[in-house]
Amino acid sequence: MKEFFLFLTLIIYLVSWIGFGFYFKTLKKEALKISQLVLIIGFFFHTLFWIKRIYEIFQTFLLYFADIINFLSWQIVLIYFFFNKSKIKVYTLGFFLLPLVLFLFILSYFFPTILSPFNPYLKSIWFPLHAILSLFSHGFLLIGLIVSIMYLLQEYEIKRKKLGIFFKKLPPLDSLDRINEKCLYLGFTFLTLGIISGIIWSDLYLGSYWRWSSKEIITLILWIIYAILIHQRVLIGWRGKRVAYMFILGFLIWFFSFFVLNLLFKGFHTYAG
Amino acid sequence: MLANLLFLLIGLNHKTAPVELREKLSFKNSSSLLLNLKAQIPYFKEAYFLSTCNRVEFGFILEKDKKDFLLEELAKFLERTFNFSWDRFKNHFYLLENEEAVKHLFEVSCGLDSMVLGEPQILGQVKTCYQQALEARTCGLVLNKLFHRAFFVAKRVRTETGIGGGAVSVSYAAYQLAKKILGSLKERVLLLIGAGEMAELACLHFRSSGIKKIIIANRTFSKALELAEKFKGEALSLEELPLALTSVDIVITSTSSPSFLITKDLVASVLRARKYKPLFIIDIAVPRNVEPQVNKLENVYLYDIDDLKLVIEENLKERKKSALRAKTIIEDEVFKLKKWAEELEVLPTIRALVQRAELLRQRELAKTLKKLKNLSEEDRETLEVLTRSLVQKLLYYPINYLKKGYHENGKYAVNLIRQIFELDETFYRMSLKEEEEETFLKETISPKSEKIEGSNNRDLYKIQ
Repeated sequence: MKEFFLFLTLIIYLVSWIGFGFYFKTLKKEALKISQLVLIIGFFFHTLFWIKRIYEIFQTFLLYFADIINFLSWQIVLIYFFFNKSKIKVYTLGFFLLPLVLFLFILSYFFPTILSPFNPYLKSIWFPLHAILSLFSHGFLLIGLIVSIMYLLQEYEIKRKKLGIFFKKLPPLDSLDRINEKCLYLGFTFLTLGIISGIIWSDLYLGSYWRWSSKEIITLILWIIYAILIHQRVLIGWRGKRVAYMFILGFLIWFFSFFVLNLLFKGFHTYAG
Repeated sequence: MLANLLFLLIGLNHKTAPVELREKLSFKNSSSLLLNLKAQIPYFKEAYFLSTCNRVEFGFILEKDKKDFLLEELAKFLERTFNFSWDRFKNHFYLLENEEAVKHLFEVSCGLDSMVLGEPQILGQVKTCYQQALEARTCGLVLNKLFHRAFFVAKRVRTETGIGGGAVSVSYAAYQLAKKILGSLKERVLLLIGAGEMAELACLHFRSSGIKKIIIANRTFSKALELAEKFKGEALSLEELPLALTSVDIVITSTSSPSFLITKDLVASVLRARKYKPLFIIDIAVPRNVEPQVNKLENVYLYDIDDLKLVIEENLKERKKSALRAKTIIEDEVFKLKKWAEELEVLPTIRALVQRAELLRQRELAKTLKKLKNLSEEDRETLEVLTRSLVQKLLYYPINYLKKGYHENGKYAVNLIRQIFELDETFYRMSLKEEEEETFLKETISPKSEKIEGSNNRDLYKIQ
């Protein structure tokens, strides 16, 4: 797993984060542009690594838990670029988001080798599809978490009338809220698609479409939280702080399901044992 | 600073002189004043005149020994032009020389010397002042350099220190906050309740940022209509306030109502109808028009006049911090300018050195060319290029030494180079010969100039 490309990517991401930090400090456009360029270069190597790695996986049918974490970090960078292209500009996002990317990256780098229990199912198209769609929903959820934290920091300063560093450096509340909204809708869409593809896969290859395993229940809870949030947002107008808190709650549930349940509890769908 | 030149700055500002005196000295068209000055006082080489509401300043470049004459004449000139007695107001003036004066000019351009620290208008005023000095043709080598440097420094300070950042007026602070809460204001609606100078000023700020609509509510409807016309908005009576609150994004209140116009209950009752859209309320009335508890509601942000003043105070503190950093930048730039001025003194030496070398080159080349008679035109040119680059490469070292050494060892380096190359002794002799030599050289080695002359002739024919 300790690949050259991977190491290179790690270094470049780190450099990019330092650049974003410099931008956060000085708010110089050049600093932002350079760090984004560096990030693109890092992402390029990361993608190269993943092309190689996917080829390997389908040659050997050996998928590790570390792969999943690393893929998630790749996705988050991809989603960062996606938001970067959108009209709503949140320039300081990179500074807050990259620590998460780096955390996942380093975690995957040093993670003990745990084999995925799904290796036998890699041959069908439905399992990889299910996994990638679900991971995308995780990616949006995590970005929503970061943006929510930024929102809460900004809101705190404005509400308390103590206009400090975050007031100056962070984007308007409205922009952050809109990014959150997008994360919410897209995350929900991917989660739904992930669940549907999972059901189809399960029905086709395992004979039953739903088996009430602990992970399935947690995912269902997450889906319901998302659904309530969207419902409230559209009908009543939940926004801002409430959405931010819901994202944090969603993150805690995800964290429990992804790390605790997956690794410590035995059962279908988990990596423990 | 310069070998025998002096930069002299005489002026008064809001710190040293009362407004009555500043008024007396204010002069709109500085270029005509400069023309008068030039006609009446012969003692300066370059001059400028800066007059704003907070300062009146003269700047002169003159020869050192003429300083006293100039001051005397200037006092008389001021008495004549502005009709006041110099002796009485002498103490309000400050007199700065060289580095101090440069530093002062830089500080003025950066807004460090302004009443509102870091205000940007002063730079525009300095630019106009320079423009007018140019028009009056009182700007030369030194002032051109000085002003361009001043503009550069102002820009550098602005980008590196953030001295212009952070609002320092109530209306601008309100505007900045609205931007941070609502993002783009293009699709936003503003409700102005009551009237008053500050509220209208804030309204103007929002208007110029392209806000979508302004609604004006007032106890007397006719007044509302009047203001609505002014801001191209809609008028509303106060009874319709609850309804209006369901759709607006920004509220500015400044009525003289003794009780709260907007209560917590009122805002709470419209929250659902607003779908919890953020609402920014600016209360600049005293006594307050909005119940302070309103700020506790979700997605509602209330700032009263004291809050805004606090924000401004904080910003001013920040600006003061930036000003300290700006001062180090200015020190740095003054030092650079000093270096440039010193370079000017080195320049004559460098020029002499280059001239000397060129003369030697031409003479030696001419000798050689005399001997080599069978050379083609191309070969001659090659020799020319060769000698030229040889001289250039060799001269690089002494010139470099001059530039560097001058700053470290003072005049020592200049002296040394002058001795080594015998610039002081032989220059006289050389220059005597120059005329003969030049005629001689033209005949032997200047195919280039011949060519140019030839082509010129041809062009002349064409024109004819």
